[in-house]
Amino acid sequence: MDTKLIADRQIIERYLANQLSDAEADAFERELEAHPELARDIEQIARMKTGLAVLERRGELAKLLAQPVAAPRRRMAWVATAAVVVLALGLVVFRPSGTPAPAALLAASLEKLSSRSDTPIPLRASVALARARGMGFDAELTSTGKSPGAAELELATRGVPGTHYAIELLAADSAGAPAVAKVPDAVTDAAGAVHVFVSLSALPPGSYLLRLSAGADAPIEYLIAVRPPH
Amino acid sequence: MTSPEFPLRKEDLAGIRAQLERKCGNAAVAEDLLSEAIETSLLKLREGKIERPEQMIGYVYRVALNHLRNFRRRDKASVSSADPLETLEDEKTRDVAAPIDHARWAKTVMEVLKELPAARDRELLVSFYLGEEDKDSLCQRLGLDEQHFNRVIHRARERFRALLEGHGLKRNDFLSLAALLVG
Repeated sequence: MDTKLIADRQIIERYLANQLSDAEADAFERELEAHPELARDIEQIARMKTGLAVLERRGELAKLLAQPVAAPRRRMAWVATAAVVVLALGLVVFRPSGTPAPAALLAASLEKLSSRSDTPIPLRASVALARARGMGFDAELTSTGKSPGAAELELATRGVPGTHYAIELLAADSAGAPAVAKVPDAVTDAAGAVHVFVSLSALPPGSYLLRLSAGADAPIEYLIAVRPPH
Repeated sequence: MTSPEFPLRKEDLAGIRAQLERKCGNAAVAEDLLSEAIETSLLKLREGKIERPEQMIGYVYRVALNHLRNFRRRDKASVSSADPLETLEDEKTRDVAAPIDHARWAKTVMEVLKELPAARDRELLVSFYLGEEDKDSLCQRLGLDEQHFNRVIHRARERFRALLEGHGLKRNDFLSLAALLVG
């Protein structure tokens, strides 16, 4: 039993829920003794469970479970994003001559991504992402720093060809995971995948969530890391 | 639970203490179980039965969790076993910081739940962590594949961790706790 296996199989959660056999529980306890850093994960999970129990006791859980998709915080994020977009548009229209427009972060094509750039942005990487492939990051990209560069992401959806998705790019490291870019309409190709292009120079290093939404279906999400330039 | 020889930051063990309390239904008993776990671990350390001092914290948890397991075994064997413990409740032994901590964790987990866009994922999280429903049953009931399940759990945990770290619980805390334990 190694630490990755413990995380992947939710061993701590199952241990605390008494769902492990005696042999499995003994093995986990031995692992805990050898790897004391696991105590941090136990502590975290125990706190999460206690937090949920408090919400249940206060009668707040049912309300949260029934809450519509757009939670107040998300709506606030959208309002903030909309304000930023309006401000950005204002700057584009009224900017003094010689002031460059902010670079696009996400687009449905390389041409659109390059639309605010004087020269076409070179494609530096192409990555195909399979839906729900595993845990952790689905793709790790490297920032090109000040040099222009883009990555093409092929996002599998398992949907039928011609399905329309709205794609949001969320800053996963920031409080409330605000949306930083959006492609309002992307259509799946013959293989059921959609293609988007991200700027490797304009997107700061960090963790991002790409969320694909189509109607009332549960959204598809991909977690992406942008690493600092070499 | 503290001693002058081995100053211990109780707040670092607040989660496991709360878990013990939830399972045995009594704050005083939970406190005793945790104190016993620490004392047993210190004894093992002094006897040289714990190889490296940094293993101390893992040992404390191991003993505490073992108490929890034993308690649950007893609980399974006798449906009324927890009832007499309720009468042992002594408000004086209750950690005065606990309600504040618990409220903070509730607020944090509420934020995690609110950030989950799909109602199904929120239900998954609650049923898994609070309802302690097993993974296979949940996947079947909610029509999820295992990978989606893993992904939701992993991201919720990461988000909860990030939010908690914003409030001061960091990986290093446990290393410093180990250092404090061994003096």
